Amino acid sequence: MNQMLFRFYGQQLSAWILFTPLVASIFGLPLLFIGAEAAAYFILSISITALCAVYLDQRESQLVMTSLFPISRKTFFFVDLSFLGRYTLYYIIYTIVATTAIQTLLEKQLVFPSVRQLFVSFGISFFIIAFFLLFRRSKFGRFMNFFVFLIPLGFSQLLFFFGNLSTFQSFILFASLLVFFIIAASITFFRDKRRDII
Amino acid sequence: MMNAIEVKNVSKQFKKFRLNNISFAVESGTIAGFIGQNGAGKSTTIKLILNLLKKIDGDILLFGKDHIEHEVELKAQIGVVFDELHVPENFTPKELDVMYGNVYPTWDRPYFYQLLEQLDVPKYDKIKTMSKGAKMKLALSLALGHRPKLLLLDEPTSGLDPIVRDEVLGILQNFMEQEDHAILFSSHITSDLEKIADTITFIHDGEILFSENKDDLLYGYGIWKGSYEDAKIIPNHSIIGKRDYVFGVEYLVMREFVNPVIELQKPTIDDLMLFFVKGRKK
Repeated sequence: MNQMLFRFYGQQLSAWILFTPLVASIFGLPLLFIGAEAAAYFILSISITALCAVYLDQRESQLVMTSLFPISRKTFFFVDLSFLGRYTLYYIIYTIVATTAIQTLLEKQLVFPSVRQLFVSFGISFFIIAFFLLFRRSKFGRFMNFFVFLIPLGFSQLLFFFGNLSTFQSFILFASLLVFFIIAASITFFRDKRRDII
Repeated sequence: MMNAIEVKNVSKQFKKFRLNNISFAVESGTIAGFIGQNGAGKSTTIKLILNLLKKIDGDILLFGKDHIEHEVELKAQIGVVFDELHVPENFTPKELDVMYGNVYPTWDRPYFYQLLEQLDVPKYDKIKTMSKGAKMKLALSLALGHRPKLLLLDEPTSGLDPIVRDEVLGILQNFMEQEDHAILFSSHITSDLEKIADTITFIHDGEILFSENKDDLLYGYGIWKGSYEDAKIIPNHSIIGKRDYVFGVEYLVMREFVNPVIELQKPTIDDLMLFFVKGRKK
């Protein structure tokens, strides 16, 4: 059942899932002059924002149909988390590979991604997913357009701040955002159980 | 016979509306008509049965089982038609068939296609290009495709022309050939219910006013029409509702309390609704 739901949502959102990181990469190119890591966070945050917005919007708009299916809410909840989690992981891998490749090209020697970048990437992902889970009823998907690329620019200082964290600080950031994500997911799960679907 | 639906003292509170302690039952093998004005609580009741809305009080049993505890198992046995088709608009019936086939363990593909053909629903057209009638017929085919035992229909014939409505009613009558099947059919079009319903449940302002066998209702009540002077022959305790008209007065009365020699007209469901809502004896 989970695989079927994955396929169903994957097909519906395939254009967004594939093209958002590519378009974000083009927009992120100028950031390469500042640093590959900042560019990576920029691409990652846009991609996950778009993914969460369109996926949860899709789920909300089809909620009546899916609520009539003989599938438990728990199953749907885990499908939501694993769908978002899976593509987030792909995006993290994509940005890390891209960063590694670009830095290697620039410095003309193999530069591996730092542990700090891993922690920050996961931290950013946890934060964005948690935010969208908490506000999933707002149907952010309808606001998805090119302006989404401007959002991380508004937080550009934050992107540079992330780039300047030490490994330990990034771990603390990662751990606290993981806790935030767990809390948000639990709230969403219990709230959905009691929720009226109109 | 077992009850397909049992609603016992169920309440639900919204900001400006309360469904107040409603109770009724739908026996297996019967079609229950569910009538009431707009906003009376019909859709709310159906959504409560489906656990789309959460009740604040009471019990709902489907085939004798609690509708929340056995939600997944029960939903596999229920077909639902709302007044709108809640499926992705860019899908075709063929794609929906694949999706529903994966979701429902008992999905009957040949039967689904047979229904589409019978109801003349195009298989390869996107839903957004379909007419309201075609969408409704598709909704009914989807609801029946997994061979449910219970159908919950919320205004399925509203906005449909008489020919399509007749086709839909025909399909519902075929569905009822199995004696363990049941239908809860909410509609404003009371003529449809007069054709096919076995019982009528009337909800008004969030309360059930009656839930009775249709024939008992139509033959148990009568309409007396006459002048105010002649009206004295009608015993006061037999009068359920009263309506004034230009030449006198109209009463909805209980036949059992009226002298059989007095001529009474058989009421329609519309008459019953009108008298119960507007002409109720204070």
